[in-house]
Amino acid sequence: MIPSLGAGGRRGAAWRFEALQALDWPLFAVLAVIAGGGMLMQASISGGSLDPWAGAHGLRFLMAVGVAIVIGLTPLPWWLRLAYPIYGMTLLLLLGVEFFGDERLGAQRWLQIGPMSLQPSEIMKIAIVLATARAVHDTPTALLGSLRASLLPLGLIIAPVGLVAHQPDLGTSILVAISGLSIVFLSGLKWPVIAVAGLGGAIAGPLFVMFGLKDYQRERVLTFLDPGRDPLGAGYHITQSKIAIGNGGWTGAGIGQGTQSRLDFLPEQHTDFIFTALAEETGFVGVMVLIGLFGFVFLRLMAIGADCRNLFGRMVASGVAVTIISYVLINMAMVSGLIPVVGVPLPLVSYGGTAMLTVMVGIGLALSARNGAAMTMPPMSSLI
Amino acid sequence: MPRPIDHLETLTDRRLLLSSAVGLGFLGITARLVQLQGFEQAEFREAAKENQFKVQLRPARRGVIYDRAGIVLASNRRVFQVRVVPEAAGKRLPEIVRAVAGLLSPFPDGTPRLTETAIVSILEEAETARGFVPISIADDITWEDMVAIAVRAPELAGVETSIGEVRSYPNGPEFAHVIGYVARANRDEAGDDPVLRHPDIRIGKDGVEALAETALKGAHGATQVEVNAAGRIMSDREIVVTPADPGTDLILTLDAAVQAEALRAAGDKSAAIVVMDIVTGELLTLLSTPGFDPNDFVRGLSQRAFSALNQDEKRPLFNKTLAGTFPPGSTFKMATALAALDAGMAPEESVYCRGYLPFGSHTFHCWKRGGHGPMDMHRGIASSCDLYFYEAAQRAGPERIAKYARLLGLGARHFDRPDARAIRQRAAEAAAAGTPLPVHLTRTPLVDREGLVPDPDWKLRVRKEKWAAGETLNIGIGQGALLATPLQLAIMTARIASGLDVTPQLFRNGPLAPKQTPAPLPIPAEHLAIVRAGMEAVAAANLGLPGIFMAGKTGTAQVRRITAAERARGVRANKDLPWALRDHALFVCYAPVDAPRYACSVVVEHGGGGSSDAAPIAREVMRLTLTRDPARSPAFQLNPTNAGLGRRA
Repeated sequence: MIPSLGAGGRRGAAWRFEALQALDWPLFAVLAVIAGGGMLMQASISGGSLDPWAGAHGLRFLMAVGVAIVIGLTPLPWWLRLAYPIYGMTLLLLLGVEFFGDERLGAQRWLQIGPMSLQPSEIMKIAIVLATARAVHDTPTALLGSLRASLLPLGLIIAPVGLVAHQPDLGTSILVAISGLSIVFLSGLKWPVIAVAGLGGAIAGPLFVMFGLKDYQRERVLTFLDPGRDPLGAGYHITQSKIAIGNGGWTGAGIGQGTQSRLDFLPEQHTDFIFTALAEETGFVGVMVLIGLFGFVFLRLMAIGADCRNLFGRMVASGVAVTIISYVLINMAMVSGLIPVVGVPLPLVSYGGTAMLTVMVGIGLALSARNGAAMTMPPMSSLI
Repeated sequence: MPRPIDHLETLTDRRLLLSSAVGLGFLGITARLVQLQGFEQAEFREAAKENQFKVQLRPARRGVIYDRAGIVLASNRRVFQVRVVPEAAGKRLPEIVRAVAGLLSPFPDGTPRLTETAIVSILEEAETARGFVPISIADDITWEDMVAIAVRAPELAGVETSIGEVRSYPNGPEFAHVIGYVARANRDEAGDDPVLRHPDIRIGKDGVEALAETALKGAHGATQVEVNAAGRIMSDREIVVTPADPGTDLILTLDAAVQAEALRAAGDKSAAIVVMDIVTGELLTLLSTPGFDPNDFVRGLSQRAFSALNQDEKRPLFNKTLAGTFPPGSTFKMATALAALDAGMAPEESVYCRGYLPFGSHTFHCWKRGGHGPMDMHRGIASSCDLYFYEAAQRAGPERIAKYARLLGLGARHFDRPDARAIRQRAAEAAAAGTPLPVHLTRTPLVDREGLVPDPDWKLRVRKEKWAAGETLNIGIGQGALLATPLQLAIMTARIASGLDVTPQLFRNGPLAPKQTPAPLPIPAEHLAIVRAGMEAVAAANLGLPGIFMAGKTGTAQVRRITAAERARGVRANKDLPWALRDHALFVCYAPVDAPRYACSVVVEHGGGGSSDAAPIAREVMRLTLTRDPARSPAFQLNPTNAGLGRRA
């Protein structure tokens, strides 16, 4: 997977240097500002200290940037070729979790391979983008948008979504579904099909809540509907995060001054609930700035997709954009009490290596698409 | 193979749609934030403050209790405490409390500091209390125990050690009955009152501590402290919401030195000793022996130690000075004499004593088998001749004797208060209705018993019987149904000595201090002088101080009936009888004779004879009282310098 092993030799090295220069540095700058904000918040809630989170967070971001650059410099066709193998491997790992996984915090998400502990559901967030993009890419033009052409990508989506939901990890399975479905949608799936599928979802949704969810998941949904039900139990998260956000007001309490953040009223605050610290300490103004930065990232990635002359690059860049922005939307909606708590981190701001790596790998893929925007790659073998 | 344009346009449309959806999502989130951070801001600010600050009770410093010379009788001592916050301990609470109990060193008698019963009651308390209120596991633990707990703190979630204050009684058992003690309000007493349920709050359970609770406790304050989500205090910064108002320091009329001397003189006897200022009614000594150490009650008593106290036949938990009622015996003869004088009996009139007096179907005896020969009133009192007082009693009649007994303070409560009367009435009504009140609602601390002054009226009313003529003779020598407390005997003596209607006083300051000075009694001064002269001639009243003399009267009260058969065989000596059947030994006295100032009563329960067993104790106590002369010593005053003195002592 290392680019220097490519066929180019010296010419290839020059191409890579130019490619490095041509990488989307403004995008990196914005991502760095976001990650820096996250670092600041990590430091603030640990009382102004780099330990235990802020320092590691910054370091991980730098490493993840390196990974993104390497991926971004890898020629796009490689990814087209690797899309299914990566997907297949990840699906196997998910099956492995199903049978051999470690149980942590009541859910089987981790797979121990030697000294490494792996969370295949995180890899799947990227793999699903690659696989559906590849499936769309391979579809004969005449069939694009038809139900028949969409059956393969839908199948590719349903398998991992089902496995992840069964772990159970509702948040990730929703994200995987959104990433995959957004690509199917972007590929031009026809409206009548969407309408029928939407209707089916509207019927299946409530049934799923009542019969398909684990007790604690259903509890979260029900608690969401009435947070006062159990103020120290499941509703505690929502009540406390709303207090912290509201306490921030328009301009915030100031960095390091958020009483709710500093006094540990919020569990999992450095991870999924980091947004509340930001909202309390920097207020509405700070949150708007953050939303603006994420908006820039989203539009930038969507623009990369739009500029691509090949369908795979389009789908990959847009899919990554949707994946990242869904993280943001779901996380913010969750902590501000608009939707139930589903355990989705805020990209680059929340503490956590896997999620950060996932996001930066996605960025890398989008950059690879950007470098390969001019390529007109023919469909590979069509499976349809 | 390039894609057809129309399809790319579709893709553009879709991209716009998707972007719009994302934009809509952010719009929704922005609207939500405007709601939370804008419109509802104030509400959440308030909630955040509630999260951040916890109101903490700041117990007021309990008032210090001093004796009349400024010696500390009750103060506050700093101690180590261990408690647990049930919320923080969570489901492991029982396990944690047991672990702490296991770390505490046992009582000196070897019983564990916390029995299983105590642990269960702690757990029950934790269940009913709100989760964040710390529950006391033990107060006043040793430094070693505290260190042991602190070392294991990581495994003992929710356990806190702290430095607190406990009530301390430096004189131990000496003042146990009169001062009483403090302890945590029990569940009935506390009810729903969060203050009373707070582990730092103690209430007076007995004696002055209970009686003067309102003055001593002061007003508790409150502070706000910053806490984190677990309720842990996060900064030293405290915001005082209401400052605590310390309790009133109280000065009692008691004299610690005299009280100590009384205890020493009483030794291991079961005795009640009262010393009183006959002019002001101030009590210098109010001692009941044996006693108990009130500090044990503050610390928490092992069940075994409590049972031992409770089952002791000498009743160490019982205040004999106020609640013990005894037949006054010969000490009552002054009342009979005053009644006879009032009835016109001439003091010089001679009554011949031959040792017995046939009366109706019965024979009444003098304590002296051979009789005293001719007796007048002076010699009748001095030698305590029973025959003389049989005659005097008949002259006076039971009503007049009762009248004089009451004038001298018998048959009435002296420490009664309207609230105590109301409590008694409620308790009586509840008992009559068959639903007795719980004990804590019937307690009336320091209220004395009224004893009994019988008269024909009383007999008809209570016993539904006519008064028998022989009863008058029995009452005349202080026997029969007559009952008096040691306090009443001291009041009686004080009234005879001063001619004033003195009432006992215990407080030199505060709301319970006396409000009026005693007024003269409606008894002719010459009658009192005759009685006093008789008391001066009592041999047992020899004080042994040069130039200072004491007047007194002995009494020996039978607690069993001596049958004619036993009298024929020879009355058994007290030392041959079991303790509970021996006579009570009594002695009342006042001094100095030329200018009386102090009166004293001593009752030794089942102690034997008044002159042999009670008088020596009174003599020692009076000797020290006169040497110290507390009534004329400079009075201790509270001022800013010594207010709260006992706190850090």
